Amino acid sequence: MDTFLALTVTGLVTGCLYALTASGLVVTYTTSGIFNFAHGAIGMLAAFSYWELTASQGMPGLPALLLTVLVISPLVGAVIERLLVRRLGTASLEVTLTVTVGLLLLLIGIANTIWDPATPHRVQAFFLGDEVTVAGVVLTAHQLVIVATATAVAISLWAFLHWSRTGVALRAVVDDRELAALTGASPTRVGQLGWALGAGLAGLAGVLLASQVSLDATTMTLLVVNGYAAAVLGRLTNLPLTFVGGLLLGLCQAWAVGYLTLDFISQIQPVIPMLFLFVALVLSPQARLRVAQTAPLRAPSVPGARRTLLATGSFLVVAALAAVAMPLSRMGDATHGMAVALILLSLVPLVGYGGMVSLSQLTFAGIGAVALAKVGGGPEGLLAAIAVPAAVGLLVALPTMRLRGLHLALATLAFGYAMDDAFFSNATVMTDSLGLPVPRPLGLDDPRGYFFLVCGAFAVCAFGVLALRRSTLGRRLVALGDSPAGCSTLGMRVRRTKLGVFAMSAGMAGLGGALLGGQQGAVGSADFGLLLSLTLLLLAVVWGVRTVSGVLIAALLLEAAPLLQDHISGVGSVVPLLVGLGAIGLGKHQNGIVGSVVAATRRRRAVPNLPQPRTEPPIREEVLTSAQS
Amino acid sequence: MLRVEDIGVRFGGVHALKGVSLTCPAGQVTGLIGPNGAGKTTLFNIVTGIQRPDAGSVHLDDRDITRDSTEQRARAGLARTFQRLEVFGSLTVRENVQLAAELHRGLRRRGRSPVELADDLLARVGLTAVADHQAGVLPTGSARLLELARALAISPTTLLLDEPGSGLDEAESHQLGDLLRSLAAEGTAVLLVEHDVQLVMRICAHIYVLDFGQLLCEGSPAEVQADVGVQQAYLGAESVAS
Amino acid sequence: MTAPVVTAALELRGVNAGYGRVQVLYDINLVLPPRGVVALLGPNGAGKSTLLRVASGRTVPSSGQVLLRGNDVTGRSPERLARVGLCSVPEGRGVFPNLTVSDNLRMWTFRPGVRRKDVEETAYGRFPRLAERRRQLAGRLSGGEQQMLAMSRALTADPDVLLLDEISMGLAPVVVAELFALVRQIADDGTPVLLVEQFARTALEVADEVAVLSQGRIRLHGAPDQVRDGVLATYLHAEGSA
Repeated sequence: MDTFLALTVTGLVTGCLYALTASGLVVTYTTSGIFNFAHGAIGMLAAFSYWELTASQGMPGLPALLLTVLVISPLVGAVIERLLVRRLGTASLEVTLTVTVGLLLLLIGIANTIWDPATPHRVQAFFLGDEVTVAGVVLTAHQLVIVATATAVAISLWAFLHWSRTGVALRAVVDDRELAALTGASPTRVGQLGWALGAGLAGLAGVLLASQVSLDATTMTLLVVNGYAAAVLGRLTNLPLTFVGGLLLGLCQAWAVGYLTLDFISQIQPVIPMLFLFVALVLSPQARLRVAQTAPLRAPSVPGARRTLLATGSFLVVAALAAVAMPLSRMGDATHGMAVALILLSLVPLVGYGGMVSLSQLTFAGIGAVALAKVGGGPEGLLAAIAVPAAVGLLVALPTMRLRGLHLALATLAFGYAMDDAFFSNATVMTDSLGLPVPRPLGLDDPRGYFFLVCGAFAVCAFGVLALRRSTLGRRLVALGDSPAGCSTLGMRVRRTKLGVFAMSAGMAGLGGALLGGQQGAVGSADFGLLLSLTLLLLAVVWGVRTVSGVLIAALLLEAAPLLQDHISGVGSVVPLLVGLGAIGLGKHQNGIVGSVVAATRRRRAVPNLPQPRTEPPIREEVLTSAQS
Repeated sequence: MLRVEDIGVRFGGVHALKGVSLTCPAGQVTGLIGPNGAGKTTLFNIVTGIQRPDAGSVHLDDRDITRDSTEQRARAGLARTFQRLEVFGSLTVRENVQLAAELHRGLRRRGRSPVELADDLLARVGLTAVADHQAGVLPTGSARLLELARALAISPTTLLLDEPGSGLDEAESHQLGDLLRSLAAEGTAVLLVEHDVQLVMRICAHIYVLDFGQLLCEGSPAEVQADVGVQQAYLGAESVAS
Repeated sequence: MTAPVVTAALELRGVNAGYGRVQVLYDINLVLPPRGVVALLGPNGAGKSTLLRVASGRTVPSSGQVLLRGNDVTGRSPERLARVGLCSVPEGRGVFPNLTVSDNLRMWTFRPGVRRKDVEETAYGRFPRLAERRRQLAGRLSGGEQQMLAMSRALTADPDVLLLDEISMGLAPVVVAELFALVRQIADDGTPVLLVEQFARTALEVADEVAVLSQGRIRLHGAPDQVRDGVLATYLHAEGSA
């Protein structure tokens, strides 16, 4: 019984932190319509600011806390809203997602530049050493502070939203943005307030968490991902439900840690929040078919069969020349880059054509590498490297294909994050701490030959992707991204189409991962982390996830960046900074850089002059069934 | 042939549709008119399975399809166009129609190739000149014609058209009327929702008038025109402000 | 110039507008005099709602000017226009469905000088049914009650100009009559009203001036009696019977 009580109390404390951070996420999402992947990064920045004020500048805890939570964090939120969010308008999901992911990387980059990750930063708990015993359970004063703060926040947030005019306006903007403007309340200002409030809540959670964990920019940022589950339980819009979700999640986690001590189950303990997120998403009610939704236009550029053949041929010639002429010292990087390009290529049919954002492509790549390692380097190993991820992809897709947009993206994120903890960090899978040895497929130990093999695989897949776009399946995918309602009423079996492309894309990523593993000789959990996965998606979207050339350039640049960094001394993290800035520029060029260039060259051609009026205003999302509630 | 029986839907506290029954026989154009907000588009959504009714049933060619999915209904021969456009904006005009033809052909592999069929249909609705343009840049009128061609590509036995004439000028609207009549003559059951009363009166054999989610009256164009209730529904009651 | 210059309450001067590359309004010139009701009629898709969007600042015209009491307000945001006295009730949804009735009324106080107490007194006094339901979500009210709640904004905000978009949509004739009596009263109390309406006859009864919009252009403009026949003919193709 004592154990139970103790676990429950710990769970509630953790749950309070989840509830705090998730409610901030919900506030920003509802007021601006943008899911802020950088929410955790804002909390992380607040934690470091608090460290700077207290440990470094010697300020007492309370004023430092107030300054961080009430001034610095809201200011960061408001500035982000002003500079980034406001410009996004009605951008597509992959663009809004990429911009906030870019922001996340940028903030991590800034933190690592200011606060050297090599030196430890420690934050003291509030009222260190003080303890209270409640019903036989020992509580630290810090834990009490967490519970008290969360309760106070919940109550004052509710009061603010229901009793103050600004709070009512905030809910009104969520309900009907345009009507709110017509009454004289400013939706832009409310949106900015929402971001400031959300950032404040993120900051509060960050500071309260800071003393409980080691202060590391990446770890702290990703801790917040657990809070997504609570937000999803609140359907991303309902604050009271979000709070309940946070507490429930904390309790589940604590009880699981306490009671599930079997060897196998103990290994999945860290995954519990992600399982929670996945289940919450799969069970969440989805709007039925959306009608009257104007999807942003995708780049129409589809090279014909002859051009594709020509481009593939020239690419192979260049690859062959490079294989012969490139110095051996650069061979490894080049091969690595081409394998990454293949992984990015798997995003083109899924995200680029179909508009389905997957955040777990790197996970499939990892599964491919593991499959190759386990089956061996022969042709059957390569086959397994494609078939196993494809099968896993199908399994993941089956329950999630009902989901659309952000929900699908979050479900793949839950899967990827869970695999990160439970699979790639698992000793029985990865055999030893240095990683799992991966053989070179087909016994191609010669680096030049292996480079050409990877280029060949990319060429074949790229040719296949372009052929797919010209095929009926490609048209189905694009149509699905444009108008699901149109597809259904023409008799398209939507689920089957989505499942097929998801499995195919997972298989392609698996092959890329296997080839990557073969190049490295071994793979470890660090190779398939969530942050890297997000970075890759971001790079692809920035350069143009709708075109093959876009992802190729993205991969090669990623490979070239460390070289660049060698030449610029003094700046600790060029890559995240550059990548973050790139993403931020995306607000203007939403088809990616390659897409914009293609569009610019096309614009010169004659455009049809069609003078008739079109009457519908561009309504972004009008959920037909929402009228029922 | 389409038969709708006793359909009822509620949104919150409001009856969107109540006890609506209508028949749309093959070989003729049936009109469905009524003021904005009368429930016409809601009825279309229920017939195509995008929304579920709270009561009543939908029959296609004498088969109960009330529980079928949207996809199943389309495969059974039901096609529609949308008042708020649902063209595939990123595809070209030809690809829009071609895709529909391919989806239909997936069932039975015979007859002309989807591209040929697409070109024929585009010629029929008069969009040949813009076949290679991206569909998203078409003006409303043309986009509606494209939705019509796309719907025809799945060879429907029953065709639901939601305001196909809005955005067309007088000459184009006249051509549309001729096209719909010839479709009906080929054996298709056409159900037409349209605000251009002139067009409705010209081509419909039978007209239903919906008001407040209920059928107000039905009959031939002449009968409907003479009905006082219809005039009130359409023009508003006489002397409200006095 | 000796004639007294009467400043229009609202004026659109040479307005062209549309969405993206598609133009909807062509060279619109429209004057709303300082008193009275101007009704804007026309078929679906003619651009009526777009015209109101331009007038309320929700859509910025590609060229031309919007003048509020003689001041150029082109490009001003809708919230700024609302704060200086332009009250606009949009089509079909003039209330926040997920807010309670009293929270909705709270939202009517964003115009400077409007006090919460006065708003509640006026709204509950005029519509006692709203007082009974002040704790209910607006979305749970009947259609008529929702429209009354929406209209209570026009009553309490003391606007200089009132724009109404199809307030009769989906409402019973009795409720429509009640609403239009209210519109007439607001106009008689000195607030100029620009009204988009689908019920032509109702609008002709209540309006002092009528403009007919078709294909993005103003085709007819005049006193109700001058345009009546032309209007009714375009609405219901039934000359003589109307």
